[in-house]
Amino acid sequence: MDLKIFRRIANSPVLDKIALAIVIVLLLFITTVLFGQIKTLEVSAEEVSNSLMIDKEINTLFSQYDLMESAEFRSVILKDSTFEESYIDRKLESDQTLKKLHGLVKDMPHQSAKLDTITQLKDSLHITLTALHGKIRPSQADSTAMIYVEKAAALLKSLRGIKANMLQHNDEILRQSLGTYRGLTFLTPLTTLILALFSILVFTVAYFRLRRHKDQIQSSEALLQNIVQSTDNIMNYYEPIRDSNDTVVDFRIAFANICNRDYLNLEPEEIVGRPISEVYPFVLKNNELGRMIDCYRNDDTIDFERQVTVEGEAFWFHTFVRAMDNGLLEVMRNKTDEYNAKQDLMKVNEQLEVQNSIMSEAKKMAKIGSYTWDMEKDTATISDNFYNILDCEPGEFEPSFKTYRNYVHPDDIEQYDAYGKWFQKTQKPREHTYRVITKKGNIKFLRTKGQFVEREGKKVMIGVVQDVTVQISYENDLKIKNRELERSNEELESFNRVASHDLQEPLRKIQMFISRFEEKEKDTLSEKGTEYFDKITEVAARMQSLIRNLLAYSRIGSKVKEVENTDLNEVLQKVQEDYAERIKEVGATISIKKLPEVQGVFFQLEQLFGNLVSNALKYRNPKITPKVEVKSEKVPYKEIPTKFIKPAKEYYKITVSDNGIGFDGNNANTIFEVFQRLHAKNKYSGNGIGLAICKKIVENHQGFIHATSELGKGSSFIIYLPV
Amino acid sequence: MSTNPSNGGSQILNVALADDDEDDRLFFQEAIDDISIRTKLSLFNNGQELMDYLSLPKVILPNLVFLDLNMPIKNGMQCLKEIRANSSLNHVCIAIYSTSCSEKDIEDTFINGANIYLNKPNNFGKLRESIEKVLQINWQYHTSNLNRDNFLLRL
Repeated sequence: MDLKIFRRIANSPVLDKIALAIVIVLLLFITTVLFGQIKTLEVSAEEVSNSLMIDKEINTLFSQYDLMESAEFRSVILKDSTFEESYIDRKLESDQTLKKLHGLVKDMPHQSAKLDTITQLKDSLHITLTALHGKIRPSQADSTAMIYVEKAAALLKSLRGIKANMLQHNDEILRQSLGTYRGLTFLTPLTTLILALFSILVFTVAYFRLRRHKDQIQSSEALLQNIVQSTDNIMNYYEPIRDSNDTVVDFRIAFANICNRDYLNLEPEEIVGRPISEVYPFVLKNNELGRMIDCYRNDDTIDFERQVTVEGEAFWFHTFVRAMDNGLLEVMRNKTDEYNAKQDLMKVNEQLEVQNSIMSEAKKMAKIGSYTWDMEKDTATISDNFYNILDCEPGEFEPSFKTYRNYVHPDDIEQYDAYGKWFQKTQKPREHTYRVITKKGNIKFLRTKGQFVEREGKKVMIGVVQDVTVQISYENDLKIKNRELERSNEELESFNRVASHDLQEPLRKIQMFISRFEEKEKDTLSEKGTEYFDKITEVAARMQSLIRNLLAYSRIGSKVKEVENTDLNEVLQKVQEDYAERIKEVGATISIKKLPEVQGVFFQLEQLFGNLVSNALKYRNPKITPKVEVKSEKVPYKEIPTKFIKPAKEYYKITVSDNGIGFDGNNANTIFEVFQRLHAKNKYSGNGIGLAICKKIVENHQGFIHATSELGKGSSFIIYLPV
Repeated sequence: MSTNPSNGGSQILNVALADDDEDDRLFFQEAIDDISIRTKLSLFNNGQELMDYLSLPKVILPNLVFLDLNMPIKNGMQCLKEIRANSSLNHVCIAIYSTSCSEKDIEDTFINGANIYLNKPNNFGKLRESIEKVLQINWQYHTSNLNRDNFLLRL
């Protein structure tokens, strides 16, 4: 931690500046000190030489004085006349030396004072010596001369005293100067050395720091390069192009990364140096170029969405433009996928909204509400339509087990509570129907089903309720209707019994008596009586046939119960056997092609084809041999022109055709209705039930029957039965 | 109950008819009288009378019982069930003699052990013919080959 802070401080540019200032100050300081030291050394050297000069001059002066005295003495003793000249020379020399000394010691008050004393003493000596010289001349070597000699000696002695003093003083100064000088001669090279070493140190540190900075810059440049080349975004740098008025009008591409190729099919090397309005024509749309120029001028940053079409494919880019270093940096991020995903999401959202509204409409239509019930907290949310079902405004009450319980019909409360407990215990979905009394006092039946789901870590029950009042009332109606139907079926059953037994019974007895009467009493009847009797027999027979057919019709019922694979070839075989006698009687030829196997009830199909064959024989053309043909083919339901409900994909089309008298095509539908007859009763036997039975049988077999005919040209009955 | 002595002969067939209709009983009587087979016919007005007779001690059981289905007090179906439930009446053959020609009745009586089903005809000649045919059947043989196909007597 500390190390980090330290490193950060060490790397901070502020520290660099401070260090540089300190180094400069230190260098200046050391240099100044060195300069001062050298100056001092110079002064001190001068002082030493001065002292030595003074020493020398003092010695010279006093030796001159000595020489002057000795010269005087010699002249006195030797009566040398040359004295005069040498003495004056000496005196002049000594004066010069003294003058020199004065110049040398003018800064030294002590020595100057001494020199003043010397000057006085010298003058005195001079006077004394001059006086002495005058005495000698008259050759009066007397006592007065001696006085002067003594006086000169005394003066010289004083001078010597001063000389010693001066020399001693000068010695002291010299010693002092020498001390200073020696100290300086040691310090100055040392300071120079320090200066040199410090300079080397500073240079070395500076070199390494610069070197490191350079490395850092290089590596960060490499990093930047890497980023620019490996980014998913287009990164370009533009330089402004100016017109003659120095106004920016366009930009020149100075740098373009590889993504230009990836997204826009533009080679970066080829586009560099060209104007963007030429390379990227899309910048001319939506005033993009204008905005970029403004951005550059205002030293700004802008971003916008842009759509680019490359080879017919639309791309979306989020573009980010920033003024930088007298140019523009542009970064284009490919947002196509995001954009498409957003579009998809919006589409899905739209669909969801539509579905939601459909759902809510459907809920209203179906009278369905939904709820979410947190059992632990006993709080619930219920859908708006649930409130509507309860005749409440949405959110009118705070739903919970308790508040909702108030709406439950008192008679169903116990059941409702039990249901709640059961649910809490087993946590299994179960349907439950109960009544509620709505706010308006209407009683409604609600059917509910819920289940447990994990939501935010706890179990909640979610479910739906449906207002089934109408269904329940329908169900009740249906139950009542069913009961009525059952009753009417029972009535029909008893009617059947009546018809089959009670109605037939007296008729049968009539016929029995007829047969008894015929056997025993007919011979006694008159002609008219016989005629009437025959009529009675005939009518009774017709009535019996009628009753039987009615019974047969009603017995077919509306449901085919036990269907089984029935071979129609066998059915037709049976029919031929049943009608063998009749066929023989009318001399008919019956041709039956290969017939299929169908799902059906054998005796009903037997009755169906029996009736049709019987009809064909009955309504024959007496002039020609009756022919009946039965054939079959398989047809897809689409090719059946007649309209009926076609649950099967394929049907057998079975045609029973004859060459009989036929009927008017307009009656093709009515012939299948009960009691519809096309002919007078006495012309053809029959009671108008046969074809009705046929129709009912075919319909029971999920089929369809219709007839085509023309008067005199035979008729065809076409039956469709599902494969 | 009324019994009629039939034509004398070595093998007299004991026949009983339970029918509530007087005319039918009369027709039946006349028809059986016309037939050459020697029979002893007992007539009963309803099922109850028949059952009472059959449960009499030391009764001579009829070989063949003709049962009408629709009768007051006790109908033919009840009689059929009771007779078939009684092991002492094992050897009694039962012919259903009814106006009804409904499949349901035919099916039910067959299942409950009737031997033959005879529709009441509307012609005396046919009646005579039918009765004769029924009486001529070797019942022991017939019962062993009891099946649905020849259950309904067709003429």
